[in-house]
Amino acid sequence: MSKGKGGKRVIEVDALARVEGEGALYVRLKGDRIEQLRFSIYEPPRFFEALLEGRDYSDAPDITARICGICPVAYLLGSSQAMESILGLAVSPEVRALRRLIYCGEWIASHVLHVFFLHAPDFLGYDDAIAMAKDHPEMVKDALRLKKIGNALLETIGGRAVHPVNLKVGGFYSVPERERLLTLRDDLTWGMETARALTLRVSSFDFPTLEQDYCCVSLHHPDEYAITEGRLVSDRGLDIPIDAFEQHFDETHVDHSTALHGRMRGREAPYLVGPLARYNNNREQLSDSARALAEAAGLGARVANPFKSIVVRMVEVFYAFEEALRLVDGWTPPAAAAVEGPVRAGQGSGCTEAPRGICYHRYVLDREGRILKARIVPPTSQNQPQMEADLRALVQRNLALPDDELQWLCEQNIRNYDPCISCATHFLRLTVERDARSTRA
Amino acid sequence: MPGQRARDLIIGIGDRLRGDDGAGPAVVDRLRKYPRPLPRGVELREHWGEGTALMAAWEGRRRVVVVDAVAPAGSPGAIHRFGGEKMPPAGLFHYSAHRFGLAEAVALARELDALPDDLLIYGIEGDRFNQGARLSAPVASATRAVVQTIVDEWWRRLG
Repeated sequence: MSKGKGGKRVIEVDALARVEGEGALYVRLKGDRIEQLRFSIYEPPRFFEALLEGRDYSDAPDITARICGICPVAYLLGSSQAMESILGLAVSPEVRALRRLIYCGEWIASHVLHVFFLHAPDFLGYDDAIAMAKDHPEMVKDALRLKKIGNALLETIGGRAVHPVNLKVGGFYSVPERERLLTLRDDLTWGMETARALTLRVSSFDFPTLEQDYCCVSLHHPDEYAITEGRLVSDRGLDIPIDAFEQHFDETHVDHSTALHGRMRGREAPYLVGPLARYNNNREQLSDSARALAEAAGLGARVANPFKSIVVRMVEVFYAFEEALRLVDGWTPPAAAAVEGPVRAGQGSGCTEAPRGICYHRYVLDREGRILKARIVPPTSQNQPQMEADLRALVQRNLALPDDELQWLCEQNIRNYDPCISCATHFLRLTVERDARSTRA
Repeated sequence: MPGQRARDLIIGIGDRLRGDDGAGPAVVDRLRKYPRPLPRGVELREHWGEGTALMAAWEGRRRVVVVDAVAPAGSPGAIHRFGGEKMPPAGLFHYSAHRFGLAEAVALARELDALPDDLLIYGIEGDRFNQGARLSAPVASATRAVVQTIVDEWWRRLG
């Protein structure tokens, strides 16, 4: 909707489709200058942190898993690891492998949903996936099947795909038989090959021009592409254990958003988490075939164009299928599904690579194992300042575009981050105001 | 898994921790506790409303009933019924967990010829969706009405 208002142009859209949650983008232009740009997500107040306080430590995985229907495993594992560090529990290699395997399922389901049902329509010029399916039914059907296989992994190991119930502090309530996991083999093989073909397809999209000087933050593990564990690193030299997170990062309130904005202490510029950051920090830890696919898809050693995050997501989908196959083939059930130990007071943290980036947890327990304090830092709040910086750069270099095209580009860029719902919200409103001297007025 | 699944499915969509968004799960709870047992071949399921997962859930089913909360429009507790040619407009269920939600799943499934033979949707208009809130009184009342309708109309047809 466009209306005149005292010499200014005002554009308002009711909702920004295909972004999770509720938020708003407001842009005010004066001449060729951005006078103000605010991107805000209305994050539910720290509802879950408050909900956890006073409860037993063993409740944390199930409760925090309800924060997000797309990435429950990130919350299940982050909280479990924090509790394990407090209780001094070390999980078996088999439990570790099974955790990585279910996490592969989460990456597949989440990434495929975002790439094909929310983001690809932007690149191919469709309003939504339904319109896209009219012209590309086979691609959409393949994507549906990939997503389903991701969910099958979650169901087989987690008991169900949404809010898996089989994970606990110390491991699992029960572990699947080897034969049960092997039944997934054919689907995983199909998924890997299909993901390879679709990565190349996605890499042929047209990518808007934007290069950003990101400070990439992710987990890093010397022997594997980090998902469930590692040290926290940046490409600017940060290299810290997870329990030092809060010495280096914090979250601040900003006036225009109820969500907290992540910040790296001592650094003015924002930082980036998520697929691009992971790829830039951990490309060497990808498998040879995933690295070869990245190269065939035109990704160099470093990706600085946020619009190419869709290609990186697909490389990660391919890798997750390949990794899942490797883990299924090597799976032998452990002697015990979980490790247990006496309760004790203390403080501990956990962090994993959720599909959207690092998700940090810290808990303080009393002697009875009751939660005195919970702190959860989801990826979307960490990426918000960087999203604003991207939008500012994008608007600045595309001022000459008509309002509707500028809006499209902004929405597409917001979706580059796959901003999350429950760590975020509902509706997104976009407002662009241009005064009489601006390019388009 | 295909082959083992019930022919018919009743799905309650929503988030129990977000006020009236819990209308769908509340209907599932009431049906579970209903004095008359569920007909054979009918599965009850709580769902969070992500569209592609919904499509997978109803794949190969004969009849599917879906209950979900609808965004406020001035009449909390109002019940909207969709089925056959009359399907919900995109965005109606936007309080569901995901922007690719129920309405989008119906439209995409129709495009790909993947709709169940018989799909009936009840939308219950919500009032408050804040985290930690309980069902509002009009919505709680509407969930009872929807349960009664499902039992009256569907117990005969399902199974």
